[in-house]
Amino acid sequence: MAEQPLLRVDHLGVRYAASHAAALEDVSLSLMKGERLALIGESGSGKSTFARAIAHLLPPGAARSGDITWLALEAPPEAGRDLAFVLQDPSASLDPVMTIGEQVAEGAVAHLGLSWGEAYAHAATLLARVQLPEPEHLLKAYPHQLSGGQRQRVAIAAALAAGPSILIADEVTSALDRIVEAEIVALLDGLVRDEAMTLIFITHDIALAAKLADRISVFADGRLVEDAPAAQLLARPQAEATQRLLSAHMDLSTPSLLREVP
Amino acid sequence: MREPLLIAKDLCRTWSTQGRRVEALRHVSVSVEAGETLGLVGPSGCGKSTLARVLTRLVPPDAGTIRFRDADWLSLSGHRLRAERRFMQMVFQDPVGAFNPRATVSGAIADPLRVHELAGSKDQLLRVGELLERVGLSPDLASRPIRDLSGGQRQRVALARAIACQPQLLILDEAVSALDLAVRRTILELLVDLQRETGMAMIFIAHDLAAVKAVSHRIAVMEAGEIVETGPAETLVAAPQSVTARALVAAVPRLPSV
Repeated sequence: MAEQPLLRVDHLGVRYAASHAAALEDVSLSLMKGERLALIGESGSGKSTFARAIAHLLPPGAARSGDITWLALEAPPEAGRDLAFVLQDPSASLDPVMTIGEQVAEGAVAHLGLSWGEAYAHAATLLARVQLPEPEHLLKAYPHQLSGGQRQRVAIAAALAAGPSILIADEVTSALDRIVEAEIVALLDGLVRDEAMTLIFITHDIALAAKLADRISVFADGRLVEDAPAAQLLARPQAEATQRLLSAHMDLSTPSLLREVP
Repeated sequence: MREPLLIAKDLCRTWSTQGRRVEALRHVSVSVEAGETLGLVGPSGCGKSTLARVLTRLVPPDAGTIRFRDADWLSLSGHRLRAERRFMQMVFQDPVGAFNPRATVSGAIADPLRVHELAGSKDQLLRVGELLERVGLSPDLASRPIRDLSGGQRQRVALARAIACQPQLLILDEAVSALDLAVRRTILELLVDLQRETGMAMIFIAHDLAAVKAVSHRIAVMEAGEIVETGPAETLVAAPQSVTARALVAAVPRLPSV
């Protein structure tokens, strides 16, 4: 499949109403159809602001400058239909007083024109798709009855309800333990492949980014400081921020800090 | 031979929520030597935070015994408990929730100095300044409200407050989990440094085995309210025996070799 450009962002800037500093400044980036792009950076680097800006989900009062051009689409993607957003905290993105079934079915009713009966059947399929046990039974459950990892699976199922072609996952594993994180990353990996979606994966963890993405864009202080294929970025990091993220990475081969005895 | 600093035996604790009973601790026994760091790792809901709360006497156990500093820790009350509490301090995950939102940095750190009479009123500000410097913060921050600080700075203030008491045991419950990886690493380095200087023991609780391994002498693995494996940090990570330890080792994200 020839690479087909999907999105071009030129000189994007964002300034939040309450702040005098720019949250994002002069960011230019393009995205291919079916690409897996990771946005990485420390807290406040602008990576989430960038994702919100392209999804038209900036809060009221935020000022945007620059151009966001969707190519290969007839109209800009509609959030919830063509473009799905999954957030860090599933307790905040799920409604505590709505059943799991209603929340997953809602997107299919709103965007696919299904009846509620059809949408519930669709929701059960989606819950099975995100590997939740007993989907029929789960339709009637409420978010508080599930673990954090299960809630995040529900949020992913709800995001997929209208069959989006673009999935934005913003720190979706930060609130989860490492075992559940690995499961969710494997789930996203499979879903994106099977549904041929374009993925934008936001994380502060460079190892997770490398695991899931073809390309990594590094943000620091509201700017895009490096943008390269994942393997190249790891082998020859250019920006100081990239090097900082790499040196902050810890895994089981990291020498014990206890051994640094003079 | 000297008795370990902390010996907990057969701790049990059950929570009841909405008619469901959860056995958060099932006959948990742990010990910590003076100056040692015991890492406590396990998936969400395995009971590690309950264990921290029982050890610090924030909640009572249903059964079991705890000896701390050669005394029956659970039988202490009143005066003696208040006096002994300073020797066991705790730092929580959420640096915002751990403080009075209106507190200033100096107020938060001076509280334990005053309560435990560790500094006279004249020396308090001086001591606060020293403690701030010790955790890598500028003494100029003393008058700032805590809510104005970054997450990493707040966690440093929480550490300054804890070490103000000169504890012999510091319990850290997911204390670095909410921080950026770069900040996380500097806090871990600070912990090891503080331990080297003060000789305090630590119980370092986290779900991230990589962080636990970096600072711990020994590691205990918890699952479903039980300790399923304990061993020296390097050995446990190199040759995990239990299903849980193996899953935790496998779940650590690694950089692909390039």
